[in-house]
Amino acid sequence: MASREAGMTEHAGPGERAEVARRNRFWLMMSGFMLLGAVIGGTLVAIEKSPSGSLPAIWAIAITVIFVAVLGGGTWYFYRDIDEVERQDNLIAGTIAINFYALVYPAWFFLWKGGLVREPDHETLFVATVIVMSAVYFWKKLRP
Amino acid sequence: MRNRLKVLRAERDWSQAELGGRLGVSRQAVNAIETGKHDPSLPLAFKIARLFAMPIEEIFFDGESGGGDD
Repeated sequence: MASREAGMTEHAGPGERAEVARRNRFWLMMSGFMLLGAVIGGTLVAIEKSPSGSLPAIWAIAITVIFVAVLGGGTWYFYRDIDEVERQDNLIAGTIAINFYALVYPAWFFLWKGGLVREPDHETLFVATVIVMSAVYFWKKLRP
Repeated sequence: MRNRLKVLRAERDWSQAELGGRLGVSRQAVNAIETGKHDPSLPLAFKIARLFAMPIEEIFFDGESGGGDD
């Protein structure tokens, strides 16, 4: 009964077929974002393993173009395609994350200027902001 | 905000996915509205009302107007 309640029936109506198409688009976008994550991760590993700790200029340009095009274009398409519940969850997660960043970075900066802590680390701040955004998003998705 | 969406859907023997597809939203969105986790926007509320051929106030209740048989 529960699966009938939520999921697909044996003879899918027009609404269920539209829902399948919408879900397929959603997971296609997610796959694109995951592929981008893998490319970025691979690049970071390559930088780490490189004796100079840097990338050839042409690689740097290529990875930047790919990143901006896929994440920028993908995010634009994602927000166009999702429904209002998904949009609200994303906007709340994004708002809390940017507020987290706006609070933590200046606090860290002034403590650094006071000689109390080391200089703000932008990679740490970036990763922490993404973690906060993901945590809020999944809390909104999974709360009972 | 309470609503009669689940009852109206059941009367038509539609799954959440079927209703979501007809409204252009996900199954999860239908579930969030039915369980009161999400109040639909005015455009979506009008869409729901048109789909069920009912006035909005016969589907959604703000707590002051009473109603709700769910």
